[in-house]
Amino acid sequence: MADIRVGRQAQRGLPTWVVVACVLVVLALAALPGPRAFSQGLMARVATPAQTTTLQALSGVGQLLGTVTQAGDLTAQNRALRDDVRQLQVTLAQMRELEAENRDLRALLGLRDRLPIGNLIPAQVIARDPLTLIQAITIDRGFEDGVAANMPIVTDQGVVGHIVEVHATSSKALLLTDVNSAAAVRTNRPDSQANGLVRGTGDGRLLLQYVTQDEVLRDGDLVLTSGVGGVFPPGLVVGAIARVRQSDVSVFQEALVEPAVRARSLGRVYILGKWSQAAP
Amino acid sequence: MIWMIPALGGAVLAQSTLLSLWFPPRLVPDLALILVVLCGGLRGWRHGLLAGLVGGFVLAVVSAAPLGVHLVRLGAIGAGVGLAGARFERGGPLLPPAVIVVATLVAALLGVVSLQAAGWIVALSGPAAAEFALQALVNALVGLAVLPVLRRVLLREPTAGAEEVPIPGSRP
Repeated sequence: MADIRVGRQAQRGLPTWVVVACVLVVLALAALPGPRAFSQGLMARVATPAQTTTLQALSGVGQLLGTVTQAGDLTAQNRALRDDVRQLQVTLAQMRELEAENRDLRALLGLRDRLPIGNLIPAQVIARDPLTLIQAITIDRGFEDGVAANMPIVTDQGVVGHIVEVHATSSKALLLTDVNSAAAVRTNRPDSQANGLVRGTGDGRLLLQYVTQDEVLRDGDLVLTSGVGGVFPPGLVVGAIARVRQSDVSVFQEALVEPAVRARSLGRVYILGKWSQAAP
Repeated sequence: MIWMIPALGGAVLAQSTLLSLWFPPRLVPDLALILVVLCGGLRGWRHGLLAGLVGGFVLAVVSAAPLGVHLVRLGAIGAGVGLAGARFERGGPLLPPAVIVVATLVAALLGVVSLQAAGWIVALSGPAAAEFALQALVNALVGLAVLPVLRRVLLREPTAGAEEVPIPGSRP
């Protein structure tokens, strides 16, 4: 029979007991914390190198494409210099990367002088949450590097979020702009410091809440962490007020806050290790 | 069927790393969902369910959402599309993208419900719904592009115990 159709009928080759067994195994893995953590940890350990390699390959391809484009002109002028130029381009890209990292670290050192911060663990964002309902990232540092749950993540520009799940070589962090994130904050006006709570709106912005009506809020006011709650140390930049919402019938006033750190441009971040208010 | 595991792994890797760097979040095609829908549609509910469960596990590696959210979302979609698979191949060329659009919207709804059941807050607004509709269209377009390849692979994949059924009108 030359012309056969196996499409719908092919599923009969998969016995029902196999499907039932798979479903039971999956349900057991999902329901039991121990096996679930083990299986997810195992998969994360496998996935992290793949994600890191993918990003490195992407970066390499980008560098190579740029180099090839420029080398095309150089070939027309002088074929012999192409390899040298390519090498120099790669070196230059690496130096630019180092320069950017150096700049970040200097900025963070300045931050470190001002704040009671513990050790900083540099990390690279290797993935973003594929579920669009959640704003989270995966970074390439885990408990083998000293990362623990609830540690804050920052850049030299401000707060990014906090760690929610830690594996051996990778961690997941919930961004401050996610609706499930919140941080105690204060404004940074010379005449008054209004205390409140920022919460993610889910659309990349933040909502400042629970600020009493007698406090003064103005567009452009800087919003900093207050240290209340114990997750974020005081003084980290969260963002700037974009629009104040006041209502005569409400006890509190609210404000939309433009976050200092853009989630889409995240690449290199720093995890704040153990910190304490009592530290110098 | 076993090849679906690396395929789903590659799809999740691509959508969480490369594509999320290149495209705005709502425009990143949900490759895992597309694979699960097409697998269910072409091979039936059993394969769809298994592909959904595997995809859920793989997605949980890079997602902060609880594991159960992805299992429910993709497992239900895979099985659901598979149960309707009888009409998938016989329908017109617009049926597969239409199924992907519906599946994307249902998956979003399942995601919202299961996240809320797990105690998470979900912000669902008008713009968010519009963005889901946009992502559904992107998924449909990507699904259209992938469908011929998957159809070729899935429908020619030798399966133990598969019955050969002649197409009506064909001669032995």
